Amino acid sequence: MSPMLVVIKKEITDALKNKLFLIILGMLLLLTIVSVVLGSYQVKVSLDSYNQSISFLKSLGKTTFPAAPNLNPLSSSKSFVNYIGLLGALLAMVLGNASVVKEKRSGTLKLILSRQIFRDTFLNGKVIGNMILLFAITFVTSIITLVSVVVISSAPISSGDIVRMFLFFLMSFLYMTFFLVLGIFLAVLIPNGNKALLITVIIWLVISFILPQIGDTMDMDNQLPGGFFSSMGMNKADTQKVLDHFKFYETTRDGIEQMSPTKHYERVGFALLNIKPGFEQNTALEVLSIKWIDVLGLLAPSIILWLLAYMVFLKRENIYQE
Amino acid sequence: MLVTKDLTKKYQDFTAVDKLNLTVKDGAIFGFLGHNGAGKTTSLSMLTTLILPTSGSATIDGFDVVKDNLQVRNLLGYLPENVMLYGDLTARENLQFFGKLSKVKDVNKNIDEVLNMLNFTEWTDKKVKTFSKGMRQRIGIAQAILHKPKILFLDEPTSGLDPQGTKDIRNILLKINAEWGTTIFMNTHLLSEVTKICTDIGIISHGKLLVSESLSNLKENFKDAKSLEEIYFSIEGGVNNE
Repeated sequence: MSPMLVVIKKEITDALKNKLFLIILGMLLLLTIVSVVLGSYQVKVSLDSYNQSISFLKSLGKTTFPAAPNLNPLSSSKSFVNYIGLLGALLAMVLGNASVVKEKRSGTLKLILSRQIFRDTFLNGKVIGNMILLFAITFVTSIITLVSVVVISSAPISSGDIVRMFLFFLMSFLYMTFFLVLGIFLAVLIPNGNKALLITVIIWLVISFILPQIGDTMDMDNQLPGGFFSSMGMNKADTQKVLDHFKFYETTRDGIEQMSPTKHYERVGFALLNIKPGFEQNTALEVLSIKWIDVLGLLAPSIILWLLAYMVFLKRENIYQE
Repeated sequence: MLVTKDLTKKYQDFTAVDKLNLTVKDGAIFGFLGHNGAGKTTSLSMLTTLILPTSGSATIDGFDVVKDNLQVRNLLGYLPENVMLYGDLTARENLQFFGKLSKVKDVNKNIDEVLNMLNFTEWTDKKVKTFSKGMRQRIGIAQAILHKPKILFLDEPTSGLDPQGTKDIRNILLKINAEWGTTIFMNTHLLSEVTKICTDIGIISHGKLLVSESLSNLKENFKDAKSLEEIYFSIEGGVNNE
């Protein structure tokens, strides 16, 4: 077994013994199951109600029927976006931090690095091991969601829907990976493990809650319930004309939101799940190409942080500063 | 076995090790003596490939510690000072992990052999966090010799141990040296330990090597000295007073 595989295997077994990780994972899975089952049940209730109406109309001898309601089986995953935003991020941060801090606490880094393994291989092993865990978690939740939607809702689900769902879970995986790498980077950078975790959590609060909240508050359309522009009776073109007068303001507002991977995840996730209107006619891959900036917003920070963690860890040869 | 030529390590303006020239013979037990901050750990870190020298060179069994560092790592076992190991893992699980990293072929067989040698078999499946310092040190030595290295580097192996623990570690090291012919390079500032176990000694002060001799030669050269302590202070004190 190569040294990297040994590290990967150890990361996975260590995480499965980490109580805090298991508690958060349990909560995430429980909430996912409950929300997906309830969501699927709601779809089923709507479908049953429509079928009953059709039967009733048929019994009255009617030959024309109202169109079927726009049932979106994917919407049963809507709450999952919030759970991943909260618990998924927390889970990834704990994994990332613990992965580095355990070596500092046990004084094992010198022992490991005096063997046939280099610093880069060791760091890669840690990141990949934890990414495998996160991927397994998102894969399991995607299967649970798919099975629940098919079995409970009985709503017709197309192959396109299945692709959208799996891509949505892939985005969830990328989102959690960002927090994993953030946790690792800060734990490598900051000598005190608890301080590193605290700073990771503060950054999470800022980018997941404060920045999106500022963006939402600054959004002109959010100033009235139901949307400011629609309550003024303005169509899309008129709205755009108004917004053109506030270009700097809008660019600033959008820039603040772009700084938040949570917002990117929400945007691409809602588009893939058809929760945000306007993407129903697109294929899953078309949605991704339309929302490429959000996919990039999820990928780029993780890659940058990974590189930074590399630079800090590889450069750190001072033996008194593990 | 081990040869260094002008081995130097600098941290900005501070020279931690200054032109270290050292030769350690095959099968020797070498005690590297010096006060705290003398440069012992920095020297050992360069020899174990953990840090890069600023200049100079060092070879172990003919392999350069910088250019051939993978071969060097294969030859050495290392026990840092105050090693804790993974507390939540058992002694066996810790050894399995380190054994696999050293690419030991039959890890479990080697673990049994080493633990038997260290009289530690009854603690194999206990978690390391329940161990006393002496027991942790024994497991630390076990991980260092699991792949039967040619040279074993130890940083203050008996530091903080009670007399019984110190004696146990000393006996283990003598056993490893006698049975396997392993060369032992030991950083220490405990002169009493050096006289009981070492065949050769080196004294370092402020990054400079003051002396490197066999213990018997050193005693011969300082016939009037009553103890190693006296020899040590006359060498170190002589330099410090200059």
